[in-house]
Amino acid sequence: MISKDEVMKIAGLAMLELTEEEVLLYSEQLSSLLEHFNQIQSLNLDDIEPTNNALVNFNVLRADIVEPSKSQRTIVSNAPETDGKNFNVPAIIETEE
Amino acid sequence: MNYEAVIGLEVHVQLNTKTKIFCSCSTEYSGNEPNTNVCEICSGQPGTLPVLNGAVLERAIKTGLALNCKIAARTKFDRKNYFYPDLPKGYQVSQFDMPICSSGYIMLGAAESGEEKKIGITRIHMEEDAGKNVHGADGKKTFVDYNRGGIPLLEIVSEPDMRTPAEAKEYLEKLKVILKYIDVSDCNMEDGSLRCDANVSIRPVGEAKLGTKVEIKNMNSFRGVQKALEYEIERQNEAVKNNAKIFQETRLYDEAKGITLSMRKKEEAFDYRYFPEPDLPPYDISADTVVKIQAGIPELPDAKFKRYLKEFSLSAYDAGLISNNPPLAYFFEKCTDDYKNYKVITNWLLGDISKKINESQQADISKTNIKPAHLVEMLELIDNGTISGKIAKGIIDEIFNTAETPRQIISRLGLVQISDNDFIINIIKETLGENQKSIDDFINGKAAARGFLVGQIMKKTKGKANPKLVNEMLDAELNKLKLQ
Amino acid sequence: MTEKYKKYNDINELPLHYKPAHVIRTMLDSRQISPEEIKTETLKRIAKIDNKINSFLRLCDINNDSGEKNAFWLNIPIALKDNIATKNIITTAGSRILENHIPIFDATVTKKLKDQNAFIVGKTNLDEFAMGSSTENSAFKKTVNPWDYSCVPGGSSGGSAAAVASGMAYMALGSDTGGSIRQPAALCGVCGMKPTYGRVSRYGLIAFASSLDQIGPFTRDAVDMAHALDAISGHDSKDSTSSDSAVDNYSAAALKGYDFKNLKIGIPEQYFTGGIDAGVLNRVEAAIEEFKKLGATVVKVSLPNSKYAIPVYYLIATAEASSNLARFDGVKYGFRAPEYKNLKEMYMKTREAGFGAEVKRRIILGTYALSSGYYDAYYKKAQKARTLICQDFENAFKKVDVILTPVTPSTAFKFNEKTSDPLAMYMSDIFTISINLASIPAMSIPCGLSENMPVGLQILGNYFQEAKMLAIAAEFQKHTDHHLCMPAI
Repeated sequence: MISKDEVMKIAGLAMLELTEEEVLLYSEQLSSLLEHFNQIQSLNLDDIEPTNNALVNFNVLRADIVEPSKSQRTIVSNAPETDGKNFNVPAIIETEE
Repeated sequence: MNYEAVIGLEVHVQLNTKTKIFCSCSTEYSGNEPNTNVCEICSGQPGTLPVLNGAVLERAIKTGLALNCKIAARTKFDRKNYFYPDLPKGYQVSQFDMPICSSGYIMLGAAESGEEKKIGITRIHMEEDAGKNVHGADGKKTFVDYNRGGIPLLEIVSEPDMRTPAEAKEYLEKLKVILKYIDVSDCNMEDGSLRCDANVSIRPVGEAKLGTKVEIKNMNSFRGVQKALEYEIERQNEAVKNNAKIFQETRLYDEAKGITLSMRKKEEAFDYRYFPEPDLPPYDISADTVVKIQAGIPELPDAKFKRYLKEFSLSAYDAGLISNNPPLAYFFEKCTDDYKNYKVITNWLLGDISKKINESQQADISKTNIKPAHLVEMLELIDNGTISGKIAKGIIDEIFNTAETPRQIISRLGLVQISDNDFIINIIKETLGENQKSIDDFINGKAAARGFLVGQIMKKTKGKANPKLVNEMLDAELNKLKLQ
Repeated sequence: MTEKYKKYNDINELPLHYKPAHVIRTMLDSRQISPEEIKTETLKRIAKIDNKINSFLRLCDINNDSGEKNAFWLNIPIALKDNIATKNIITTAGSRILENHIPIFDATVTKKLKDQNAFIVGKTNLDEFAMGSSTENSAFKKTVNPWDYSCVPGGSSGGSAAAVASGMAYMALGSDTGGSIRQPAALCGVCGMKPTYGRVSRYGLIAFASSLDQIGPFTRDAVDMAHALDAISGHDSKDSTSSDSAVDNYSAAALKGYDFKNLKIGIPEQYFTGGIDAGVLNRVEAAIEEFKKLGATVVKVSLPNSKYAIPVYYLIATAEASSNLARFDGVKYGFRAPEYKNLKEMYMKTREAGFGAEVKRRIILGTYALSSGYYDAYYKKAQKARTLICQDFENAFKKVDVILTPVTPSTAFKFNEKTSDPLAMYMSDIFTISINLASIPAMSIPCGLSENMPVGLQILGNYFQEAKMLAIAAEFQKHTDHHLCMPAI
């Protein structure tokens, strides 16, 4: 029950440029998965609290003490495109008009 | 039909902690080279994890208390998912459905008009700031710098309770004063430590339903917020008059042109797919914690204003000016410990001293050389006749330049007021002897001649003669001459 | 036809490359063998067989000398799954999108092992971003099962499992989100453990599903497993989900053993109904009989919400993964598409080309589960059902010390057998995924062969009960010899 249109919309949110074949394949595969997954739909879970994590330590905090940052060179060392100081990306277009 | 404007403000303040919200990089990035205040965590390297800075949580609670909010018993973080180059992880760690504070308010108008108005605060939550996208000159590339990424932010959302742009500006000013009192942020729109987005709609007066909401971004000062709102409300009123549609959209304020411009229209609200941040546990805030933090909050402007009226009998105007300026208020109160003529203190603070602060271009009195002890000492020296008020003005200048005490300055410059009666009477007689015409003019009723004589006397004494004595003695001599 | 395996009668018969680390430790300490010899022999073994097995994506040569002289793992060759960050050494997560990525920091577990002066031999192959059950989803190599090269080693930590199974490392770290340590351990005939969630720091583990991921060891036997857990456990201030509960001395517990007369074993009915190969079921039941013979009492327990485990797991894991993988965008590190007209195209082409099919499928599913209109029905509902699964285990552990189950429904399957049907692949995780949802510890130990291929026995414990589990496993291995059966290479 995930249509091809929905797959494309989701792919847009996830920044994936799927091919035609992929859209078709995923919509079939995911539909069949979701159908199988629908068994949890029948459960009445209104009174159950969700579990994000079964074992939680509450209130994990860190002291406000400065530690050295990494060097500029290290930070950009893996950049696909850089001018040595920044990460370079294609220009962002903000407004029309 | 009369329309009214309905305004809400969303303010982001950068907290003045030493380290970022989720890593231990320093928050002092201003003026630094790009990507020099960055570690593997705040640049979103694979495998890294966040750890909350305790000072951020503490300042968030403090802010909530100062703004009369309810503090959540349990709070947690959520991920806000979207793609943008200044967002290294592809999501922002923020708070969605369990913010740290809710249901507060700020009072406006307490100081001036005496008519107070309550502006509700819907919620306050913690989140991380994004990096900076800097546009290349040729328009082909954007340069991304993560120095600002991970700086702790508080987002403060008001209820749509404001009705005029002036009210909006006042809200921002009041918010800034309160936050400066509790020392959680610099609150400067100019350096980006405070950012403001406005939501504005119009509706017929008396109508309960809200009109179409327009979001305004890109304002760079409190005044800019006011002007942007003025323009936008006018624009919306015009639209209604002309039966044109008001779109629900985001508009950017163009400061130079004084107008708002439509951004690329987004058909629907973006789907951020909020879900609880699995890398951070929830935080339970105990009643003890709240009590402790509350105890650390100093007297806030509204209470201070009322106390100044009562305890120091200041005028509402003076009390308002001082209580809304935390460093000045601190200075004033310190002076009152040792000097009890409060009006005199405020005269000097709001007069010459404020003038000097503006000239010095320092942010506030605490950044200048003058200390409460200096002012108190100076006032005492005026009271006991050692110096005149006029001399004191010069001393103020010197204090700002050299940080010396008044006594040191007086000694160095030989400014002790001359109060030796014999010395003064001789100068007066000498001056009268040289200015027969002025004497004649005075006797003939020209009051200005007396002033001229005083000026000549002061000139001879290089301004050091005790003016009170000069006046008394000169008047006595002139009377003698008159009666002759 | 050559024998697939060889059964040894005791530890002393084992060739050097198959000896447990604790024996190597004794040999090194008593100077029966030198660190150089161990290193050389290991590298020789790798040179001889890894071009067929393809465990390693990369060899490294890390053998710090921090001065630590008493560490257990000093100079012992170990391997790390390639989703664990190693500073200055390429770490790919098995993905094209990180093909040449060089981390600027060490994972906490990497640091701990470097501090012990272990000899880190190399980074092992995995399913891309740990998503898979066969290691077939690696963008780079095809790791095979050392017992039968036409079969998968399991996944996602297939490279680490195969490395230990074939004697190319004495211990290897993997990661387990839904069974990715235990399943390959079972299919490759070695021990594998997923500790309690929070027992081992996740800092430096390239995240798949944050509330489910844990790093854990592959070893020859339970005593080695205890030593490995000693080395990597403990609170980490860099990981907010890391536990500050006291760390037991695992090796002391394992060496002490366990009196099975005091042992109550839970057998959950839901894990023994249909869908399991007869041969596998046979071996698991025989192992349970061995426990009984040694004095243990068997108690029936029920984990009624097990049937929801697959949908709950896949909705939660893919949702978290879809967010965790958003950082791979061609801006800061990794692969960037060579051609694009604007920023949006750069993002889309980079991620489309950089991610493999399974990863993309899971990102789509996870994004869908979180999307507006579906969040309550899918993600939130799965989180609630997760609570039920946790409650099942909490109730069961009130009655028993440990729970025993099969690890996999079959022995190692053939390559390409399940790749065209995602649901079939996901269903093979049925016995392992509830454990991650409940955050409890679990380990797989060898319990014999079915048609000449290894079968694993899963031991589940309550939170932070690893010491007890290891003592039980070590005791079991004192009286049995399944862990002395090796692939014949």
